[in-house]
Amino acid sequence: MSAEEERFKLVVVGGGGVGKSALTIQFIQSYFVSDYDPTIEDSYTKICTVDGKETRLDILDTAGQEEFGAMREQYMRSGEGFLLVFALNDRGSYHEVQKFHTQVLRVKDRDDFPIVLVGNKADLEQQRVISREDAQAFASDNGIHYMESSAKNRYNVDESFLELVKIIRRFQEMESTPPAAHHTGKQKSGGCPCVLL
Amino acid sequence: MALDAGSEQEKLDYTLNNKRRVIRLVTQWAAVHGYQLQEEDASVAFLQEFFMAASDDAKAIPAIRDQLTELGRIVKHNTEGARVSQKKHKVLLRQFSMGNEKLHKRQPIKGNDEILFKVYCCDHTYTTIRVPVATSVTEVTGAVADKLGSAEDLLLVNLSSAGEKLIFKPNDVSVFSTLSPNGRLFACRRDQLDSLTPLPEQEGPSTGSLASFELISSKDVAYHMTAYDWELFHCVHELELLYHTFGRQNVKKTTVNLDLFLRRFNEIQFWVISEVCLCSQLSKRVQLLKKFIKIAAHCKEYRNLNAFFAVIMGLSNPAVSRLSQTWEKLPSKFKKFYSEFENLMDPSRNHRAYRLTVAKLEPPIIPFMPLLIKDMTFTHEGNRTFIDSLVNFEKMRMIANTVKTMRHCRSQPFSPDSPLASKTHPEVRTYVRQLNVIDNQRTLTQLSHELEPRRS
Ligand SMILES: Nc1nc2c(ncn2[C@@H]2O[C@H](COP(=O)(O)OP(=O)(O)O)[C@@H](O)[C@H]2O)c(=O)[nH]1
Ligand SMILES: [Mg+2]
Repeated sequence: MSAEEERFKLVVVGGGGVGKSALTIQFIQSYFVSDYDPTIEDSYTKICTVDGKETRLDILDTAGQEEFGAMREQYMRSGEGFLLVFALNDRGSYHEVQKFHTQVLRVKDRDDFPIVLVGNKADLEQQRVISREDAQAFASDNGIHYMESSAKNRYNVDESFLELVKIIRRFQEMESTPPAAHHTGKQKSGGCPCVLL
Repeated sequence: MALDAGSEQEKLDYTLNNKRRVIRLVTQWAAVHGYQLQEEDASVAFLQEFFMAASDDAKAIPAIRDQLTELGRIVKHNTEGARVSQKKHKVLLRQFSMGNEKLHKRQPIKGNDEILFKVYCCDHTYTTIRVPVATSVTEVTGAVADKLGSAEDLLLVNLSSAGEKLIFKPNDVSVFSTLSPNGRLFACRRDQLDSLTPLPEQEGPSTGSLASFELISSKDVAYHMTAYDWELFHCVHELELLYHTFGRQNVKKTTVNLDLFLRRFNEIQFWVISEVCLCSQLSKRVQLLKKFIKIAAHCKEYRNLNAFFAVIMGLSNPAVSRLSQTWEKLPSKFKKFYSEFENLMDPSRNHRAYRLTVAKLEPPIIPFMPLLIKDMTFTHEGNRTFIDSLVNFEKMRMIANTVKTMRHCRSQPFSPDSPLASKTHPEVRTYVRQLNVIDNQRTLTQLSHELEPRRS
């Protein structure tokens, strides 16, 4: 493995008002500050350690750019992993997130890609209109991971992002494995789960 | 207080200083608001009262007289302005075109200007309403219901050419200017929502308009685009940025000039995609790519980064970028330019490439507006306005910094050596102001596949 620092671009997508910015800000600001300046280079960056390895994350959220559909596409194009966010108390946002799922695959021109589906606002349990089972079923059908979070209570915020990092790593490892080696890897996988690089 | 110990003279100095500061504050406050002050009776009344009080003071303290002249001028200007704008509302025709744009310099649109606007029904009939620009959604649906003679609760919907529906909230204001390029306003009952279909005219053109600009130099096209962008940009009031960020419905203020400027970004981008996708001849299409890359380069030279990004984003749209036969034929010089330009769009490290580039430029600059808006939004959402019920001044300072960025960009007038052609090509001037576009991504993708089917 190269000694170069690992760096991923994560894109947060979802309808308006589902809590994308809240999740992003919660994740990036681990503690409360009164002067969060979004114009400096590191303002959407967070360095964290996942499975013992340090990684630098660039979070892309199209805040305030709802009227620029193409900005979202632009962000999608450069994204290496996606958090697809909907609000558990908003059926419309759940339908919307399914459209975004299709859009991500189209922009990436892939059948699968590192994606975590996030049902946010888990704190509003009484107002929930999307059941965990439904969302989980959609996620499983599409081979993506599902998590429920609350940006308000800081529940599963870091976990969602970090889960995505793990999925990206697995995905990129598969990708970088040449087909032949991949083949042998698979053959060997019965006995030994390691992949030789 | 320490004042008691001071001499009479110190007391006087102290009073004088404070009074001068208050007057300076009011003067600056009026300058920041500009014409927007006149829209509020309370502000004008306050200015008048303040001027009277200050004039009284000046009798006892002659030293503040020099400030009074300036204050008096501001008060007079605003009082008269308010009277005039109450009497004479401009009527804006046809979706914010000013009608006789050739004759007049574009003026900012004000909240109490009136607009004539078509609102459509499910069956594609329409009714034309005439309302002030800052009208709320509830007032619009009220006006429509009146005309239709129906008492039912109507929803106001932005229907895009792709059939996407955006239902406006009742308290939102001045929504006319927020429609997508080919979007239309529809009014319907909730149970009619599913039966809403776009008008045929929303599809956009079925043939390209390359002929209108292929013989005109890219520099001239870029010049006219930039001249128009400057008109739009100049009309944006600094406060509109704040209203946009904090929610215009909360202050009942229009952000119409900003909306129209932001909308231009999408328009240019869809123009690029539409022209390429409507050009069936491969060799012409290669010419078109070259043309757009050159136009982008000239926009960049004019420091019109907004249009520059719009053109490059148009070219990087999947419907265009997938046309591999076309891109293959593009001379390598152009490929190199394009990939340099694309790198400037890279959002990594918080748009580092763009921020470094723009920091090196001198005004006049038209900044990449979507990013400016994002900075504002995140400053707002990432920082509390109040902390322990005290105003968070750190946040306000950051908001002000972004506003100042815009002020810096506009601090010099746009006055390049206008290409000679600008005089001899009035049709280009008109053309770039009335772009006909397809804004339905599905249609564009489909057209693109017809041009160059997927290779299997
Ligand atoms: N109760 C609750 N409210 C939330 C949560 N996350 C966000 N919100 C609120 O939902 C609204 C929209 O959030 P925002 O982050 O701006 O959504 P965005 O449009 O997706 O970026 C704000 O009022 C947030 O305070 C959550 O987990 N629980
Ligand atoms: Mg947001």
